[in-house]
Amino acid sequence: MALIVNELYHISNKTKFELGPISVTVEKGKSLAIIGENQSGKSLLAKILVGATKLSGGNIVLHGVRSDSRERKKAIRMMFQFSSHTLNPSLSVKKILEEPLIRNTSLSATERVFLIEQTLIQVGLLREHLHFYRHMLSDGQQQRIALARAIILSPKVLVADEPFATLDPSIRSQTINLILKLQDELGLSFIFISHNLGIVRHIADNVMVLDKGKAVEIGKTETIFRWPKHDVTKRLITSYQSLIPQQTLTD
Amino acid sequence: MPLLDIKNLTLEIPHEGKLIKALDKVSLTVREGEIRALVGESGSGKSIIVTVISGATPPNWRVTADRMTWNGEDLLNISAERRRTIMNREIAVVFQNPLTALDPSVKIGAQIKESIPNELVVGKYFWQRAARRKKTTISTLHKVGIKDHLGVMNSYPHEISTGIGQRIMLAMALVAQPKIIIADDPTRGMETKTKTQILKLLTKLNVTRSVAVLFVSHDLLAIASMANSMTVLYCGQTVESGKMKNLKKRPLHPYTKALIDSAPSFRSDLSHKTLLPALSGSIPALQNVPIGCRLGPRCPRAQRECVNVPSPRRIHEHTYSCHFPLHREKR
Ligand code: SF4
Repeated sequence: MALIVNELYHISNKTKFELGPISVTVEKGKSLAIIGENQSGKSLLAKILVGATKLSGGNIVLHGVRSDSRERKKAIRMMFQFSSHTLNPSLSVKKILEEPLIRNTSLSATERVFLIEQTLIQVGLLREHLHFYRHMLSDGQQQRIALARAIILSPKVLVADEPFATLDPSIRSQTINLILKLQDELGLSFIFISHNLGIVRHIADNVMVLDKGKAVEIGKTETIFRWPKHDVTKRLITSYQSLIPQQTLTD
Repeated sequence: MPLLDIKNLTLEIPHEGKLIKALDKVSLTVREGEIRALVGESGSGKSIIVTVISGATPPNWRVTADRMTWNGEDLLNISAERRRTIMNREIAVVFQNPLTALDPSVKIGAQIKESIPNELVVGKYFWQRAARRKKTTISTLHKVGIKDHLGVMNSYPHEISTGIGQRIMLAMALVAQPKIIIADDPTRGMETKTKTQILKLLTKLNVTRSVAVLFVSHDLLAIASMANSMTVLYCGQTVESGKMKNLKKRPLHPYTKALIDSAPSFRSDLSHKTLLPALSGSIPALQNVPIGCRLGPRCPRAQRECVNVPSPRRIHEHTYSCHFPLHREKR
């Protein structure tokens, strides 16, 4: 079940910023990383993929999913960048996770609680966390709740804008491991924006390089890192490699 | 003699009628001309240390230390005035978010000119001094890699990008010709290109003007690319400190190892999409830190002794605090 993006195109009314046309395919269980400099249109592309911003042209097809927007909204979910403000402090974990279920499904109250408990366990939390509020959770646990909210509707595709940027190293590793595990178990496709090229190289199967709204290079991760073609890609990769100590490269 | 020398610094903060040890016997030294990284995740107390060094602690915080000296002067027992002079002239602190540190209503040029200490401005008449300030401002902007000095000087803080903003903060720090720059998480959230530029700039300043740098961050890739030595902090305790290359190659403390493992870029042997080694759980809140070694509940090597705080042990220039260090079993 692949996500196919055909000639996606968007022009902003206000700024006249043009994005696309972009065509790319993300297979089931695979990851696509979107990299590029600031103002390249990365976040806009993510918003279009999850249906938060409208297309001006082209289409997004997810095999096996009816293309009416409610079905698609369930199948392609966004995971928001973590900050301590992501979760509403006055809502319990149950309420936070129940909201997408009430809006998008016709499950009964008991069915909803059951599903919430299952999802909590999937992201490595406990049933008891149902009744917790934000201030009772550590950063890492809040991050897991954010992930739980993104996967509770059993999406086929998870989209994330800089999901790791604000995370501390150990929470970051835990989150990456969790996503890898979910990909493996649920066949989740993962599309993410990141400027941490170390992580991109480790978890992405394919990489798309955006520059001024155009996809200037798309390819397998290893190929892009070893043989970058476009100048923008070369620049990004070189500045990343200048950070890696030489002995690591030659080890 | 180290420039900054802190030994067994303890900081107690009152909380609901109790005193919480936000820092528990932290030691840190920075030598002249060196780049030292102070590494820790949020909740490690790294920013609190910066606050304590700069002397901006609220009156109800209790600071005690065996030693806390700046260039031989005891920072815990000097007059407020002397302290202010040191902070204005010798220690420069650059914060994470340039926009909040600048006055939004004043043009950047004026703000930099203003931060030049009077005694560095020579000239008998005010116009000579004004010209001097302008000259220093321009040359400092060039030093931090800003070519379009006029454009920047005539801008307001909201009109500039984070990368430029960070350079301006550095410029403002440099005009006083400090001996040390303390950079508190200066590259957080920056994209790689801007980040490398800032790191190169710090390294260059270190080399050409022999300013010492205390680089406070958890960005290991950034740290490893520039620091000579590092001190690792966990939950208010110093866990390990030493030369960068030794710590990276052979960390003795389980926490240092976990931190280094968290950067996939350091591991050429890691195969694609495999799970990263990670400690379970997260840093506890200061109100309920575990007794003894604070890593205890998360540490894969913890044993019964770990309920006692491990005292620092030293091999050459490498110090660690752990009852069961890695790599040293066979002794
Ligand atoms: S002292 Fe014990 S708990 Fe602490 S790091 Fe060492 S082995 Fe782990």
